Amino acid sequence: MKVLAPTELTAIPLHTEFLAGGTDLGERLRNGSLPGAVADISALPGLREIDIAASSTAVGALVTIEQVGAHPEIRHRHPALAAVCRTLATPQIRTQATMGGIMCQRTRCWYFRHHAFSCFKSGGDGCPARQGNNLYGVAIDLGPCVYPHPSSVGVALLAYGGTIDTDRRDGVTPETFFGDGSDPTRDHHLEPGELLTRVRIPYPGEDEDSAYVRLMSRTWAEWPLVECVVRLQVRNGRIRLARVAVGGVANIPLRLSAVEKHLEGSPASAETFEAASRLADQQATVLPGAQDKRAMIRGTVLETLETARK
Amino acid sequence: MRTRINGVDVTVEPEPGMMAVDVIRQTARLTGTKLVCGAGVCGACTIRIDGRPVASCILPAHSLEGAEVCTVEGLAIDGELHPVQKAFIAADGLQCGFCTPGFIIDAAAFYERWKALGRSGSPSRDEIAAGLSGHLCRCAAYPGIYDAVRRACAGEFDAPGPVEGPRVEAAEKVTGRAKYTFDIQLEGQLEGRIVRSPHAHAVVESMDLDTARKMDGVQAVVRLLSEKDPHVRYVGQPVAGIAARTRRAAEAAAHALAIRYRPLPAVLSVDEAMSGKATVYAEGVRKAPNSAEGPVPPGAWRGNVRTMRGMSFLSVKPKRARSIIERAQRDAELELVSAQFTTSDQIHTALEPHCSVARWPAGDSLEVWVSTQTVDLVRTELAEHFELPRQKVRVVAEHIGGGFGAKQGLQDDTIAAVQLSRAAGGTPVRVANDRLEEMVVGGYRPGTRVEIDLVASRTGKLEAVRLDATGSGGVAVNSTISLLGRLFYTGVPKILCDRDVVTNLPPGKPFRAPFGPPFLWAMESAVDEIAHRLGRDPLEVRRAWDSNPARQALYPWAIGLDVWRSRGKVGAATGRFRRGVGAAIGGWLTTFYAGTEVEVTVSSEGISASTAIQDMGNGSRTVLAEAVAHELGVERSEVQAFIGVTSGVPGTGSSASRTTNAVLVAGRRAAEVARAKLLSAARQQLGFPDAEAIQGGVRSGGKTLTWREIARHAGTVTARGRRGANGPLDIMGRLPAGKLGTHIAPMMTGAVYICELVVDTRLGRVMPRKFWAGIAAGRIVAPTLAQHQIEGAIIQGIGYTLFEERSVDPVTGTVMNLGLEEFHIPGIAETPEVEVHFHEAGFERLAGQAAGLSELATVPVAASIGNAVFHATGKRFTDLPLRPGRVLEGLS
Repeated sequence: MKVLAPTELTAIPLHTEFLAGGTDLGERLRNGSLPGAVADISALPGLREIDIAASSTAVGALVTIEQVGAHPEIRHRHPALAAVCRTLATPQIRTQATMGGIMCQRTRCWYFRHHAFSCFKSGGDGCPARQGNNLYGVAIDLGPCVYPHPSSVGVALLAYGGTIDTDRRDGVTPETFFGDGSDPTRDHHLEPGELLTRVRIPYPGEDEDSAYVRLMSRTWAEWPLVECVVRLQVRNGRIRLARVAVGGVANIPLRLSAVEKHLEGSPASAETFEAASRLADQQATVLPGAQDKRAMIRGTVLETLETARK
Repeated sequence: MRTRINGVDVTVEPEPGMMAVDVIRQTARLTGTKLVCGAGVCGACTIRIDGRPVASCILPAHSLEGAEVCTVEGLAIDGELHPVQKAFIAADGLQCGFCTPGFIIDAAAFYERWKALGRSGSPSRDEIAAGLSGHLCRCAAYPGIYDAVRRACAGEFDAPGPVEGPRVEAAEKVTGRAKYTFDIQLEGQLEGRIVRSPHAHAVVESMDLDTARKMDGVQAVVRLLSEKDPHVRYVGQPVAGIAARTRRAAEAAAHALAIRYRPLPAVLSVDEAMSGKATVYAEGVRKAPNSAEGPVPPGAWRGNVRTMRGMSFLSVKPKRARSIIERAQRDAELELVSAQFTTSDQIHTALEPHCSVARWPAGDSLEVWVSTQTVDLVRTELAEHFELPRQKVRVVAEHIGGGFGAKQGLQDDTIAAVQLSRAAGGTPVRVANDRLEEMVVGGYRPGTRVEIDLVASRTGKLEAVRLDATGSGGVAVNSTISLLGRLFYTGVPKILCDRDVVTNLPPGKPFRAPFGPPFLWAMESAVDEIAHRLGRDPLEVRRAWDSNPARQALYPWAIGLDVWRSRGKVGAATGRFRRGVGAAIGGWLTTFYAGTEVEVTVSSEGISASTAIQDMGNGSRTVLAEAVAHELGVERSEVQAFIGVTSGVPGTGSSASRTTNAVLVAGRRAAEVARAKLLSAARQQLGFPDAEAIQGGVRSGGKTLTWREIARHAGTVTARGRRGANGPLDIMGRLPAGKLGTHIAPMMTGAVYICELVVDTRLGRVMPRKFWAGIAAGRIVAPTLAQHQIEGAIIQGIGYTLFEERSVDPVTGTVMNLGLEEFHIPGIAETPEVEVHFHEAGFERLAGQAAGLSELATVPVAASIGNAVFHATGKRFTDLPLRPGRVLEGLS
């Protein structure tokens, strides 16, 4: 393993993966499913800051998830992001995992992580999950890879309209970063050797309701079956702006535009939420093993909408 | 690289792929920190780095550079335990103890955070659950853990001084001193790997072992696949073994093995197996592994289907049953429930994996450390397998990190370790499953499908039962679901059929009450359904149908509970969250092993009791010490219990709920003999002819002597006691006890459970809130440990009912649950409140009057949850697990 000095960022080999908290990479390092080189970036300067500015919040790549979830200003300004960071994984993981790592982690697909299989994402050609056991597979089928994207923070970033800075460019949108799901080889669209340096989340102002709901079979410590981040801005009882993003559903974090469209302009009422949530699984083309995800998507979206308005 | 662990400087050059946990366990030799999931899920490897609790299994070793590390061994200061360690001892926040160091480390950090807040009182259950949500305990010792953390935070253990608890070995487990097989590190020990079949079905045509033998660091390569039957029948079947100086070298050699497989058509599901697409066992090859604990009765094979012979003999008036069921289809006077119930495969996944360390110290003698529930049986089977006299084999299992049924008898890891050690000239070899191997071949409760017909008359009388049950444990057989149906609701016509469908999947293994939970899931759901259709109280219906005296003693208690009386009508709840109350019964065989012996030694040094049993967390060590102490009238702490080694005192396996009774009775009898010998020594040798036995010693005139004092003057006294049969008329207790060593007493234990839960109809979650567990298993020897066994059994049952589900790739037959991330076992937040009611009478004819309850306590759980969900929603679910999506679909 290579431990990177700050000046070496320009000279790292292709297919190098960056090691930050190691909660994803460490596991793959251990079980030997890591083909390329690894460069430890934990000594790089300038990546551990949280900057609160009037219009946005910037979080450095090496800031831990625990720090984000506990930060009073983030809890105040971006409560759904803070909620994500207090809910995902386990306390021990949250103290290790970083914002950069959580955006760039590889898929949790059990075919990708099993040494006996190869797939598009592990350098092979095909997706064994499609014809295989897809109990935790996607409900909205956007491309050849049929496992949900792992980044809960990505779902929040999408809902908040955040952006990503790298060592090469600023302002990469989540849509660009995650792509449209059609490229099965990628979990994100950074170039080889490109380092995520910080994420920026615009401050939406005081007058906003938001919520995060993570549906799991147990109470804690599980990848979500379905998760949802909702932001609502309501004026005079009507929804002016609605952002509804879901995870656990597609191979990228996804905004549900039909739900958003239904919400915007409608009264912020129980009836509206009911009707909007019924549209949540509209695009679903569910895999055989994941049939029961439809009802979970509708339920989770409804729950998030109602929680936001509580 | 330098790091500081528990205040000691450690220098290490990390190899590629080395993790922090390896530095701690291997370099620093601190084995309190456990490696379990290898994925940061279970928390057993938690250490503190500069104060922060961190999962060390996924932390690259170099991250420790310059860090201040604290492990469980470093928590005590000058021998004074940390308040949290004391609390875990006092509240019994542990069973097998394998997860305990991780919990303790994190709970200590939680305690310090709590103290820093300066709040009075103690944290809530939700706060504790959230704080410790990064830990898993397969024994489900969670209620004791809650209690420990709460009491520690309240300051109960802040004062210095020793602490006592209900479990004798607790101090070793909370300090990390307890050595499990997984922790054994002998001089020169090699690391062994099992090379496993990548094919679900194939013939091994050739195997080149020589290339690997010549590789760097490799010390031995052996063939593990039978020469006589070169077929592999599941992905993961052992084919060869490699021992090398390092795990890395062994793995490199594994890749270098050239094994030529000729793939054969495989059947990977019950439907495929029934379709006749391929045959798992060719004609004549019928050595299928056993997925239950009893002997495999004769069966009749047709293709992949094996039906137990003699089922018509086990059925009760089957012709009459058939005619009643047929009549019930058209007769309005009869109520018929016909349904099919299914259960999924439940992986044992004990936190200590199957592992063994073997060495041949003197060429013809063998010494093996094994993570096993049966030291004596492993010894017997090793002697048979390797053609050695039994006395030449020594088996050690001082502490076992969970078993749950999957670690009985000679297992693949032991065979591999012994063969490899022999091939390496007797050098110690360790073979330990990694978590993926444990998920694949460690064992699972076979999935089942049960068709049931239940007929009752309008007047509420049970008329007939039909059970047609299919179990599928991969290549293993011995499904006994309907057979259990013979033992419940007796005295009515019954048609019983059990069949196994074999597939090219890994073998199922016995799991806590083998086939009990699936049988009662079907039976007790159907009874609940018919009671509902008849408009009768489901518990009153059972009371009328049930001839079991143990449960008859429990019905009045259960029926009288407020929660039951005020439960309301089925499906009456409205709104999103619906409360439901359900009941189910359970029962299990009362067993013991008559051949169990205990040896008690009283010397000037103290009192000890030894036998070849083992304790995987169920408390047998404590029961032994308790039994001997009670009989001699001394404090339990005065008795040292030596178990977990084949000492020459025949013990019993820890399975089939037979251990408590066998150890209790044999222990008492040994102590009785010791007492008589000591009394006679006092009278004859020490010159106290009128000495009388009193608590803790003898009295003569005004003078008292302790047992130890007598031994000091008259010499060490050794006495043996044997469990034996239940009196002169006990014929069953004199029958041959079979390989496992099980005697059955002619009485069953009984349980009546009530579950209260909430169903979230929006998100599909079923949330058990409280269980009332009525248990009739005779006298309770160690009440706290018994309570914790029951709680653990209930929580494991919740896992089985709500989310545990083994997943298999339908194309290749590969098990997809890589570890504890993809196989969800209950966490601390899944802990319901449990109220236990013991009915202790009724076992007077059983020596010791105490029956085992570990299995009894888990069998009613699934059906009590299912019936409560029915009560809450009006929907009868038939397929387990009740995961959120399935519940939502069912309700829509």
